[in-house]
Amino acid sequence: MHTDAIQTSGLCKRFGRREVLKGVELSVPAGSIFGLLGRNGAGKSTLIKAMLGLLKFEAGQCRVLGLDVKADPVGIRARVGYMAENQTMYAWMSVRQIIDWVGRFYAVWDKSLAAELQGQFGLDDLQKVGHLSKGQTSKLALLLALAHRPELVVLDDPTLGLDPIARKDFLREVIGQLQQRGITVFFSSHLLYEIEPICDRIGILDDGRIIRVGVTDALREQVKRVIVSVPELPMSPLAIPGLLDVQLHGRAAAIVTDDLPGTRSALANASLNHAEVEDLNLDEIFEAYVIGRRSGGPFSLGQTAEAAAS
Amino acid sequence: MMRALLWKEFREQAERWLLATILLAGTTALLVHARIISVRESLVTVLLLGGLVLSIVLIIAPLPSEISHRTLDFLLARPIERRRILLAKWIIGAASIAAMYAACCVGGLIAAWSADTDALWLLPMAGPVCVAMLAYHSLFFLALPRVRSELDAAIYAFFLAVITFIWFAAMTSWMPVAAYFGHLSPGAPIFAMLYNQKGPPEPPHEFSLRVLPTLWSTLLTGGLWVIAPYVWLARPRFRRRFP
Repeated sequence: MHTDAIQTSGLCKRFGRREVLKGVELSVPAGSIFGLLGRNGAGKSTLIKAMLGLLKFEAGQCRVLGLDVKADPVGIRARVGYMAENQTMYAWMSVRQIIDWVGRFYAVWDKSLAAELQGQFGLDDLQKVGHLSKGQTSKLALLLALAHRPELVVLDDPTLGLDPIARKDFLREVIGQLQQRGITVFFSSHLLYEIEPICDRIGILDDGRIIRVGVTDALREQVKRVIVSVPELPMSPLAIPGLLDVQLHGRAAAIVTDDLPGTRSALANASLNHAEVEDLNLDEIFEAYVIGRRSGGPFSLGQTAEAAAS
Repeated sequence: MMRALLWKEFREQAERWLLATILLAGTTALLVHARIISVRESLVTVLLLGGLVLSIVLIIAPLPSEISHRTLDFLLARPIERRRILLAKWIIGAASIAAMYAACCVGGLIAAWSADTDALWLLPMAGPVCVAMLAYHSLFFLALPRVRSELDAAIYAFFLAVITFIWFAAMTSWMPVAAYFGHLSPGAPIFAMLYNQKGPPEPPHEFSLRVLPTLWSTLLTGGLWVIAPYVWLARPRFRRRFP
């Protein structure tokens, strides 16, 4: 029995000269709801396509539901429900036709579940796929990704192009459906507020590498913002362990760190005992990891002010 | 699974096929019935040149349009091997072309019957041309998966058609060579048929010198360009290369 639904090691993918995935190391435990965060162009969709055997990768290994992607991509796709970003379906088919047609590709296709979801999503049998709204198209794609009772559902930016109301409505449906069924979910998005309420684990993909993986709550516990008054900061370089970002806010400096005890002790060593600690939401954590200072090395107030000015 | 793929391909291509068939069969019937120019010459023009253009129209549509409309991603996300998708497209494309030529023959024969003209020779003429078109279908089909949009496909197909016409013209001036040694080209049955339609042999060498080379060319081309791609698409090694 495999405990990881997805396991990749050293996954590399290149398009011409551009290296999109640079040795991705990732483990997604079975039964978890995993959120993959990354900016546009970070390589999220490429990673998903490589995981499903839709793209060949140059180096590394990938196992999904215990199967090797290179050896049995069709077997993996039979057990995975995949909803691609900006999913385009055959516009000339009716809702009934596409449900029946897709069902013929799967050994297991739960017609009663498909009918139940169709009723729940309000999809009319005779309506042409080309005439559906974006929200309805997303719901149909979700139905097609769930009706074969997959063990893993991969959602690649599923709400792309939806308006805020439709997005919330769709997410409510997704969350409801997935929580009911207790299946592993791999959710990719660059909209952090989408991921935050859903996912119990997250991974941050930046520039083709996974730079952080962790349990969402633990991450929130671990990554903190420490506010220090600027006049108190020493002009000499100050080494902060786990430093992610430093920003100047008026007369205060906000230090984001993923090692709060280490940071506290470093500040105490520099006689800075009036530090105020703040919690961060996922959006701010992501921002700190992806566009933060990230050097981890010593910094001084002079450097910080210079960076803020530039 | 294969039936589902074939159904989709048929539904997507049926309209285009119907238009091409009406056009080709209608033109054939009109020319046979009206006898404006030599029936034989006009049929060569319709079956060969008209058929080639319409075959290209039928061939360029399926794969590039799926790529440009991004429906291929939706299809590939299902548990289907890529070779099956290609195979379904290839089978429906080949069947469309064969059915188009069959309809063309029926149209020509009805027109000949109504005009009281003997046109039974139309059948042995249409056979080699149809096999040649199926061979060109395979040639285009093998080249087109690399094309990413319908516009690119149309440009490729146009140049391919121009090259084919020039090739036909060049080979026609070397008819004896084309008829007997041009077996590797998809147009070999056409060269053989054209040469043997107007060739000098008289009975008792009718079969060996007139029918046999055409038959031989047709079978060889059919085997090389029509049967071989099917086997290639279905073979296990292809399955491993294109999972």
